[in-house]
Amino acid sequence: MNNRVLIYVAAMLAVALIVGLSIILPKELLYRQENNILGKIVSIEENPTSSTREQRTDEETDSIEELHRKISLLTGGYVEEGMPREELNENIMTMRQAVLSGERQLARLVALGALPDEVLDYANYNLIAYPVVRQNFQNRLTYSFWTIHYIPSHARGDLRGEFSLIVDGKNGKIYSVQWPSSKEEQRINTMAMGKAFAEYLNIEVSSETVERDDRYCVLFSADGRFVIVVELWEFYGSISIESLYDPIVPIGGAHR
Amino acid sequence: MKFSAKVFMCTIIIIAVSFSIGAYLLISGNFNSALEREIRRGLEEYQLLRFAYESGVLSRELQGDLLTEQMLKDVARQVASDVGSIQEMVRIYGDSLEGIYSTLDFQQRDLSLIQSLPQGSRKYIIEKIDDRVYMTVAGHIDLDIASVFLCSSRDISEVFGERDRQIDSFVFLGSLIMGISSIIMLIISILLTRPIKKLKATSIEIASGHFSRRVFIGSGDEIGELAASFNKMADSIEEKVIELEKVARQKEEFMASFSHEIKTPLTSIIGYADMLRSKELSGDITFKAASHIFKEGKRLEALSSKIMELLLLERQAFKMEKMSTKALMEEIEEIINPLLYESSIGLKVSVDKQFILVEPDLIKTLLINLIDNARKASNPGQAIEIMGQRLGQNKYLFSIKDYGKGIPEDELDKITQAFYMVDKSRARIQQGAGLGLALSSRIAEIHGTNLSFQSQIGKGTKVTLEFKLADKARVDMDE
Repeated sequence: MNNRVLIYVAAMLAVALIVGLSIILPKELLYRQENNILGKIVSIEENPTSSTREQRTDEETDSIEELHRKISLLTGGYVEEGMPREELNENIMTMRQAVLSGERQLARLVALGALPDEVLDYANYNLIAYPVVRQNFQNRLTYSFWTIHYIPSHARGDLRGEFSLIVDGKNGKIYSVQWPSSKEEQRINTMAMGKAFAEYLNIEVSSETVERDDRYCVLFSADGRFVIVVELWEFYGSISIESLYDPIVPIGGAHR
Repeated sequence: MKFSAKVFMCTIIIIAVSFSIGAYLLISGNFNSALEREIRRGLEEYQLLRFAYESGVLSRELQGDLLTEQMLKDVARQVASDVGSIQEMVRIYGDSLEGIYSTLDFQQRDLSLIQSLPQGSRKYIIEKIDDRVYMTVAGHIDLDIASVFLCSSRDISEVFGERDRQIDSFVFLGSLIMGISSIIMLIISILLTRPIKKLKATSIEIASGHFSRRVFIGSGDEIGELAASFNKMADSIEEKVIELEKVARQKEEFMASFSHEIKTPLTSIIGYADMLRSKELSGDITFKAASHIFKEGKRLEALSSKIMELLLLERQAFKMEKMSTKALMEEIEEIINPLLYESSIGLKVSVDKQFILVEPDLIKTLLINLIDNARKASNPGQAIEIMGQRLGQNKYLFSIKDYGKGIPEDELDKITQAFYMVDKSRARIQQGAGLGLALSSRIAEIHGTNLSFQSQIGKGTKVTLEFKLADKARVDMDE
């Protein structure tokens, strides 16, 4: 075998080796990726300390300005819903606090006449609560709420609709309520309910109404920025405050 | 190594490496993306479980139940059945890491995960258990009165399975593509290098002496252009070779003629010298022998001087000068007239006065040679005509015409060759060596012209040659 043939054979073997490696090497590298993944414990912080995310601390929770700001931000078109739920701030109420606060606020709303007495019964149902976090990308502020659903107990034979609240994650105020209704409840005066809800929220309402009948009432805030909507239908009733900046995305309507 | 083999190997290597890197990045990217999606989903599902469990415990508490291990267990069972999908495997551990509820026996693994779990944080781990891959998330839940650890596992084997299927596809497709590519590239490299092989074969044939061989490549690419250039080069080589062969043949003929021309007078000289040396001769015969030796000696002298002139013409550079045609002809007439008179041949000269650019000595030699040749061809009583006239704007035409024997047409192109004689016996009688026209032709070449012959047997020969007029020629030279 002369040198030329040897060079040929060596070159062909080298090419075969490279071709073989080009198939085997990626395969091995891909399998080896597992080593960096399997068995490795990864920690996730529940409460990020980033100052840019959670700045809502010392606002005057009962002031109407604050309420306006929160609601307008929530519905003003700059809000993104669906932040990862793990990014809840430690200043936000716990589920227990939110649920207990919600029950207290419910009692207050009933006392003011904004809700029928029967809603207090539903609070004994099994509940499931989850937080909703929204961030305004314009001012980098984050707003959180608890949505609490009371689920009718099948064992109690009560198959009527769902009872739910939206509670502010900071101060526990109720912004929206939806409850199962009965025909008897339809005698309730929706206008009176709306005015009572406005009083609860410290909002002055205009004397004009958009629309009103026995089942439906819409009240404007005096500054024209909000509407309070009261609905009472065959199977459910609801009361909520909505921003006029973006009536398509009302607070309560989103959960109706 | 052959060029086709190099092309083939390089291409295969490039294809293999490119395919390999591309496939790796694609599969790796897909896998990482799918894994990330599954991790995100696992974390979200864990949160759902967490809120469901926390809500369940709170609900039971609000309904008056005491927070006991049994209650925690019941809620966990309820949540696992209500919220947990078939993929979810829920485990609850108490503060002291005691198992409260578990659908799977993952306790040991869970404990290692939750042992170092700080309050308010979560951890996850991806593990391979019995050929299945699980993502386990563990977190701490504060229930105010008590706290528990919640662990949930999610089977994410499909992500790894999908990756494995992609790797299998890559190996299969890679092998198939490399096989097919190898065959295709082998054919392509052979086809691409075939013209080069043809060029090589043709060059070998040309190198072995087949100068007329050419290569034909129809493509218009660089190789086609190379082939065209190669053919041009071959044409040039063939031309040069033919020329060289012609020159070699001429030299050979020259040497043969030269030897022959020398041998003839030498034989005669040696014969007569030997006769004078070996015998007692009468005074008359002795004179004849001595005369022969003298004549042949003179012929040899003339021959050698002509050859010297030819050699000098080949080597020397000449300076052209402005010269009057009238003056030139007067000088020539003075030289040639005694010879013509001796041969009883007349001379008619009709030359327009112009200035031509010539080398004076060479032009005289040239014209004298031509007139002398005309003299040799003519019979006594005949005349030679010399004409000189302007031709167009910048040329001057000389013609020398005789009415002698003429030259056969098929010999006209040979008469300027050295030692070529149309009538050898007559030439020798006239002491010709067959070098006069060769010398004249060379001088004409030096002047940028050539001899043009018109001849008819029995009617005579006319030689014409053109010169540049001095003024115009000078302008051209200056340019």
